[in-house]
Amino acid sequence: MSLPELLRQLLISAGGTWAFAILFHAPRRSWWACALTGGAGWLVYCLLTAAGASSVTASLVAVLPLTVLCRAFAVGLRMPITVFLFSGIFPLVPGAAIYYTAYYFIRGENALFVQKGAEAFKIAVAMALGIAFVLSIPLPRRHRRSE
Amino acid sequence: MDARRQATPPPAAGEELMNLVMRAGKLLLENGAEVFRVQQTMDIIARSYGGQDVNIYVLTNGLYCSMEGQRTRVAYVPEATTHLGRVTEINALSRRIAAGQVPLAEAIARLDAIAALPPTPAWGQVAACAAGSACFAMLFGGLWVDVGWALLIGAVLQLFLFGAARLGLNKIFTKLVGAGLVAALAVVLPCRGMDQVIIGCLMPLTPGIALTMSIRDFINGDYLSGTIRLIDALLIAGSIACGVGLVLVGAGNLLGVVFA
Repeated sequence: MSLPELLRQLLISAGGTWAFAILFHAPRRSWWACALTGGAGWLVYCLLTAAGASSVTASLVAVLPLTVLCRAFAVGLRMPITVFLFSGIFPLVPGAAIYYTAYYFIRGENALFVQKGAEAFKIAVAMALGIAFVLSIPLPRRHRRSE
Repeated sequence: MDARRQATPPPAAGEELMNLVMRAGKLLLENGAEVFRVQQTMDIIARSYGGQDVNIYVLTNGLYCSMEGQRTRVAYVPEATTHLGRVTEINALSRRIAAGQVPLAEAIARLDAIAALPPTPAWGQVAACAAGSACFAMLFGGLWVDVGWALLIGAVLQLFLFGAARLGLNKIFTKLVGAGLVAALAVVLPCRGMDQVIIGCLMPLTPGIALTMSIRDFINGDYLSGTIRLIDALLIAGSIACGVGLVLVGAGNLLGVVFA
């Protein structure tokens, strides 16, 4: 994947995440950080899929740096981590897989329908595992209350 | 601030404290905080003002709180929206309370101010929904010409969500009809890449928040609340798929739209 294309993907995903941060009434001074987490997650996802990883693997790996970034922002800006996590994960939410599940279902292509449905579910599980893994690592005691 | 050092607060202050704790908990839960945060924040506030023998139990849609010398309180919180600004402010307030910097009366006044924090103005939400839809339509491979359509459909979707909230439609039905509306508009309007437009505009409906909340609840050991959220996420995803599916079937049969 070329560099301008990567940059374009980063900007668009950050823009989308920014819009969602507004939609969830996140505090104004957190918007840039939300956009950055969303963009970073999507960038890693793009790089991995370009390198040949499946969407499930890519989601699992991409959510790791994303959640690390969320925790860093939560401590740094002294806000609940949910502020960044809610909007930041949206580029990785399997909206496309949900759509194609419905699409193949009505077209009667049962094999593809099951495949897409399973993919949506697997992506969700992969994201859950990744987030859970990063959130389970304890913080040093002095930072513990700041998330 | 002496209240922290008092062994037991006087009964009047006790009642006020109880009101404050319940108010903070309800506000947090209503505005999209996870169960663990609600529990922890209520606990911190109660103990900071010298509440004795404090026990708090929080669920996705309700909370219980008991305190020495006070009636046990129960609150039912059926409808939760997401207003992260309020959650952030209450979080900051609880941190200052824990540091002993806020007298009880001031904390009550501050909580009133936080409850009155306005949501993003309606036009801002419409613009955000439109912009978000357009960005995601592009992200999933949409063409430049479709960005305009995604903007339009995203704006209409947010207007529909406002209307549904005003009518008090339940969540599942709202998502189902919202997804159907998106698909119907994308079919009727001359979009080049119908799939991408639909996917982009579905993103505001997808259960990203329910999924994240569910994960957080599970990690914190709140399995019951986590299960409720997980069911929520699955039902939302299912109803979106149904909404889109029904419209595409209808379009195929009535209008003879041929899917590529």
